[in-house]
Amino acid sequence: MINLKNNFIFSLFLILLVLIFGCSTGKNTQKSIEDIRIGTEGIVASFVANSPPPTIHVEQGADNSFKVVLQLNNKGTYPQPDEGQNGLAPEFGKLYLSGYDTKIIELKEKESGAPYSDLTKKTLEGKSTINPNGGIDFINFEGKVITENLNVEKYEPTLLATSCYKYNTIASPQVCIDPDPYSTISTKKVCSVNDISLSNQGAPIAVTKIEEEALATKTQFRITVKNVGGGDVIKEASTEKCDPFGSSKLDREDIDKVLLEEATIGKKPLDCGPFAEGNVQDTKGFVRLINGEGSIICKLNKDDYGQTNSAYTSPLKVQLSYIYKTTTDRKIIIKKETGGLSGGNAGSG
Amino acid sequence: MLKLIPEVMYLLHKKIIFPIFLIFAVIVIGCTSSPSSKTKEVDVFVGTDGLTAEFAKTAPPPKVFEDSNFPILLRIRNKGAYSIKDSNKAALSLGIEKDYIKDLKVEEQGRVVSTRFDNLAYFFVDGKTTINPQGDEVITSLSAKTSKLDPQSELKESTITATLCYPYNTILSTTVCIDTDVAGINPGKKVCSAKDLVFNSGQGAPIAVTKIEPQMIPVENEIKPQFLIFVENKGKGNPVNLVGYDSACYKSDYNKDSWNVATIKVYKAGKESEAESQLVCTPSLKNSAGAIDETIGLLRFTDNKIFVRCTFKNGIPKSSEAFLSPLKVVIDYGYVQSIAANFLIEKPYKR
Repeated sequence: MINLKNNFIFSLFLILLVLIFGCSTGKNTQKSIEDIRIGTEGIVASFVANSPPPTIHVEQGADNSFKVVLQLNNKGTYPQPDEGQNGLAPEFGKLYLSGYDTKIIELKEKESGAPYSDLTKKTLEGKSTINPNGGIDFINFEGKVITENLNVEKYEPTLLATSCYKYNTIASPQVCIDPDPYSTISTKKVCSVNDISLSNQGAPIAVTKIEEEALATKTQFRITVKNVGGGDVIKEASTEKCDPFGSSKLDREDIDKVLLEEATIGKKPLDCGPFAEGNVQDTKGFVRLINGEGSIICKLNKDDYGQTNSAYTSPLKVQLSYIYKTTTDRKIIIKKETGGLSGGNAGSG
Repeated sequence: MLKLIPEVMYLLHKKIIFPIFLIFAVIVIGCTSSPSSKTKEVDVFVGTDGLTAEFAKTAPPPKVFEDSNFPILLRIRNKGAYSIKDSNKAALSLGIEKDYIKDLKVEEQGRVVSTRFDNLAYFFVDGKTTINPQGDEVITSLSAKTSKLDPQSELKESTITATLCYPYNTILSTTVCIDTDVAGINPGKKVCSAKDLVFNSGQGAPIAVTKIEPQMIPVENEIKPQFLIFVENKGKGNPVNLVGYDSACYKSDYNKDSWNVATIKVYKAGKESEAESQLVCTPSLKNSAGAIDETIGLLRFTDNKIFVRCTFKNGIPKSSEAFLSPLKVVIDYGYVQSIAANFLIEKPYKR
């Protein structure tokens, strides 16, 4: 009798459990674009395990080839499906391998035969609501050791993978526009003018702070931009200087410059400045970063306010574009196998 | 009967526990991972020894009677990485007091060859290899006879010296940084930066490269990598000119300019046969005609130390990034070292 009662209670408990879990509403996994626009990375390249192998044994006359495989992951939010070409960035950039003696190692991309990889051809769409992880792709390099030129028993180079890619940062915080900031009459306002702190926007360059100041004739925004990705930011149009074997090298004037594509409230472009190049005051220009941080002041004149006398909120869209350079390295050992077992008369370090 | 029960139980208990313990031990030991069977890689290019020689403890014996034969046994071992081949043998010369020792004879063996001189022999012996990381050895046996002592002398202490004169070489293979931006002006990460390389453990030879100081010399739009190579004599003997090294063992008028001399060649990546892959070293060696061969550096040791400056023939464009490149240093020399053994010559006791 007791057993029967126990079984009944247990069955009831089970049914209850099924009902509770079965009827609970499914969690909405769809994230908004604002939820996606987080993170401090853009394109992240990493060497795949054992490609290249840690030690490469080579022999005179043998096919001394090896593979170098890199995994690319777009951990940022550029480009979005409506950006670029079919959601892929046009003229994204290139990935180069360097750090080795070209007399000894020959490296070429498998597909193109070029000593670099064109990232534009890779499926590296940015994180989006439909692909919250971002695009992933691989680069295959075919390596060959030229043993005739290897006159030592052991050579220990470090392969340095440098990716230089075009990237965008978009920040759209809500700002408060108060047409009557010095009003003496106490009226209820929907918002008040305050500084806004931002963390990051799913890109290696982030808008970290907007300090707002409402004046009688204009509203002024000091926009602070920071390099949060751990790499180097390069001025657009200096992509070719990333090539480690190229004829020109990056100099100080090419780095730490971010292009402010636009700063708009509503659809009204703001006048910003001071810019590092060209017109000091403009709607578009280069922002110089000092120690990884820079700022620019943008202003909205009273004439461009909305047709209202009371304070209102509006999104301030800040769009930055730049070339970002990151590196990753992998140490390898190339060991030359000698025919004989006789010591000496060959050499090692 | 009842008294026996606990004892039986005890024995039974003991009998069960022991096999259980045994099974447990087998499982534990069986499951312990066996030590890695991977053979440890042997680096033969380590150490500061070349050839080492020692007399056997009893040959020559500590005491030898006058006018009697006695054996001399010399054990020569190649503890370095260079193999002394049949084509370029090492010389062994024995120094004796001719008034007290006579009839010195080297017994010929496979690797020991006697000469027309009683006290001179040649031999060859392999160096350390991956299959013989201790190095090969050659035992040289000789025989000699003591002369009669002076009538007034009861005993006489005598000395035998063995001098080895052999060709040897030191090879250092290393990876250096070709840093095109030494000042660190250019932005971005570099794969390496030029810094001193120190070698404390030798290269399996008595002459050792102890330090390499890289210097990237800017020349217009290029840099010319230059290396100060510090070399030391870490062995127990002296380097001599490789040309006619063996005459140091038997020529009393051996040229004093040939002492403490070695030559150095430095190669970068590329075919060794190509002149471009060889670095220019100063001071350079003069050939017999008096012309300077700048690809061969001359090392003249002072207090067992010397350095040489070797430079790339062609520059590297400043626009290219830093990279790691191999560098091979080859030092050729003859090496001379001696050992000695003392023994007593005594008169037999007469009734």
